Amino acid sequence: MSSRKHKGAENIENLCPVARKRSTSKNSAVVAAAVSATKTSSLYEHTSSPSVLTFEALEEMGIGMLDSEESSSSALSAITLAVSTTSDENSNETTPCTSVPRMAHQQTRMSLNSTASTLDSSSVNNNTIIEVFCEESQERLLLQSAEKLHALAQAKRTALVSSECGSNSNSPSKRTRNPLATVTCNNQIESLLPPPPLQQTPLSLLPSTSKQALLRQKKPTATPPPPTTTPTTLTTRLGPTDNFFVYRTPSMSAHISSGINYFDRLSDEILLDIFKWLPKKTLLRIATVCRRFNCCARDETLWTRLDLGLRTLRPHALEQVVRRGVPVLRLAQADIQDPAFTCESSTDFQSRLQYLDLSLASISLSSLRTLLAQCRQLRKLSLEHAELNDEICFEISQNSSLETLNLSMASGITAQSVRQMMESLSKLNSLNISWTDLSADAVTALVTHIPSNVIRLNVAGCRRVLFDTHVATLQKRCPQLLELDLSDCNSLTPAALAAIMKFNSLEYLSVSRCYLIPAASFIELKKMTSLTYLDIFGMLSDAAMEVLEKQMPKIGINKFIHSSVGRPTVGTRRTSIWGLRTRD
Amino acid sequence: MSQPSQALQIRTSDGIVFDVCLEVAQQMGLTHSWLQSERGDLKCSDGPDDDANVMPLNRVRSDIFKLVLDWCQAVQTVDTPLEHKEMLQHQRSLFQRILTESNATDSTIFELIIAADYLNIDGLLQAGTQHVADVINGCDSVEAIRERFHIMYEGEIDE
Repeated sequence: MSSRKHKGAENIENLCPVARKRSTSKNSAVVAAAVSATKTSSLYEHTSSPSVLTFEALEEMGIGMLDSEESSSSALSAITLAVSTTSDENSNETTPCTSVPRMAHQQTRMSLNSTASTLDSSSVNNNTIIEVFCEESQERLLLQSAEKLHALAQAKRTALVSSECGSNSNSPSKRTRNPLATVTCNNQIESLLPPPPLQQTPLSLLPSTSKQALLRQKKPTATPPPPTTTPTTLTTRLGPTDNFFVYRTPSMSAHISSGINYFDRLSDEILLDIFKWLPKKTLLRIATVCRRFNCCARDETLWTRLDLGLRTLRPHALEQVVRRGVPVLRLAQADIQDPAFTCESSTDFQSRLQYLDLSLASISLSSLRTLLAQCRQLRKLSLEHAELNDEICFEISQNSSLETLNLSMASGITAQSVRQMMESLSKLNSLNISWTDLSADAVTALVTHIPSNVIRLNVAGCRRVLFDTHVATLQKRCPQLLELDLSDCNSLTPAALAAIMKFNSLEYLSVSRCYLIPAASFIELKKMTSLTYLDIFGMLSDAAMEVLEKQMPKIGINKFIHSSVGRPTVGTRRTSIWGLRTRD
Repeated sequence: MSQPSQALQIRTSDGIVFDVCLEVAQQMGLTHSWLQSERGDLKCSDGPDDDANVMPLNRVRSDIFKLVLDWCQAVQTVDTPLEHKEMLQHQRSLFQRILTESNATDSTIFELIIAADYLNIDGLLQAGTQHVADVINGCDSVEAIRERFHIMYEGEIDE
């Protein structure tokens, strides 16, 4: 019994991670003590049965604090989120977060007891009394204009309503306990509030037992709800009063315990074999079925890749995703809401991310920085169109195994960052830094420090800052270059071609719209034996183009409109990144 | 060299002996390795009654083994080599057929999976695990999953 109680106390802590984090251990001890104190005393008040009944009886009846996990934590997180964010939705003032869960714990204990005693007793009177004081407490509550309580009640109601609709069937918020849909309770609530007057009082919030006893004595009679004596309906009717618990009826739990759980016969390995067929959504759902499933569902072999493209990630969702240890993550065009990480997470946690696609994702500077601060094993990274700053670039540069970096159209890149990245990323072989508004200094830093491993480089769009000398330096730094895109670098002159000709292995060259290079000079490129493709868009008339094509039959001219250097998704392969599948 | 008998004898845990043709037996990784290790040594042409030539299967019951054999034989009859995906689907459908034919219960399904794992038959294991995964997918809620498979929920689970 004591062990169970202990577990109970422990479980309560788990109910609200936020509370655990914020309240000191001393507080939680106080809470637990208060809770158990109130529990036992209230029990003695209500029923004549010994307090032993509560836990044991409940366990036997298969009713526990358990399904609570699902509804409670989502409910509680609903509360904390509802309460802690200045949400216009609830139109409340924010209540300090700590008070909420503590009260919640007390309250849940209360409801647990009330149900226990109700179920235990067969007398209608008892029911009546409990129903009554529930109603009483609600009235009292509403009368009290304390903002705290009001906000709390509101939050409770919202959580409760969500758990109510969850207890019977699936509310979307409960169905997917996945971090990506962390809390949708708030949105749902709007349509459900205000609660219908006939609804059983959802709030049995009882600040102290003495008051509770008082109420009970005061009003022995009130319109009792129709005395349904069957335990089944009783429980479900009382469902709403148990804010955070979905109670299994005795019949349901008997059904579960009477059957054999064949999964127990399977080894973990086989279990993983089964799980690997499941789509991610189901995988997350199944993780809440039981402890063993939870362990298995977290296995890293099941989370090798994740596609969250175009999704909206609520606050802290990204943290959950990263913590799963996913190595291949696609977040293209995702909307990552702030704050993506809690403040504790930035210390010491190393993510296993190796392939990260954040192209066109909307993410704040601080979140991006925190994310990248946790990444040290990145191999390929795309930050196309992202907002960057020096700190972010610093974090990028700490990934010494980085091979491919796509910064196309990113903003906020300074010369210092460029230098730092070039100096640190010694294994880089594909770099796309086009259209990033580089300064002349940045371009200089780029070509003087670029690692010699680089074989694909796209520096398109460096208008008026990239000169022939830069190309010469580049050639000396990276003589093995295979792909070079210099389109729209309109300061280049034919002298640049001379430098380009020195690239012995160059297969692809683009000098589109480099208007200072006359058409006649292109024929020189014929001497480059390795050159296979040449893009010179916007430079020649159709007639001149035909002539050139005849003169250089072995070279494909103007075959590629879009550069693919460093890009994770090219062409029709929509969801694989750098050739790696992300969908199941 | 021992007589190239085309059948292998396998005795299941409840003492029933099955005659399994070699081709089918080859599908099972366990018999495969057994054949290679034990049978290769047997030079004397012992009669079929000889105990040494019968492979014991201590973990599989006869009824389950029968279903396994059914499946293996059905897979055997595929002439044209199928592509991986098609193969999977084909194996799945075979599995389903066997289940419905034998009025299989949950117990049977799981026993089949365990047997496939023990006997090291990859195709059957894939088909079985896929089947269970489909059932899981078919459940609407976590509670439904628990009910369907009689899983007790024993405590708080950290998300």
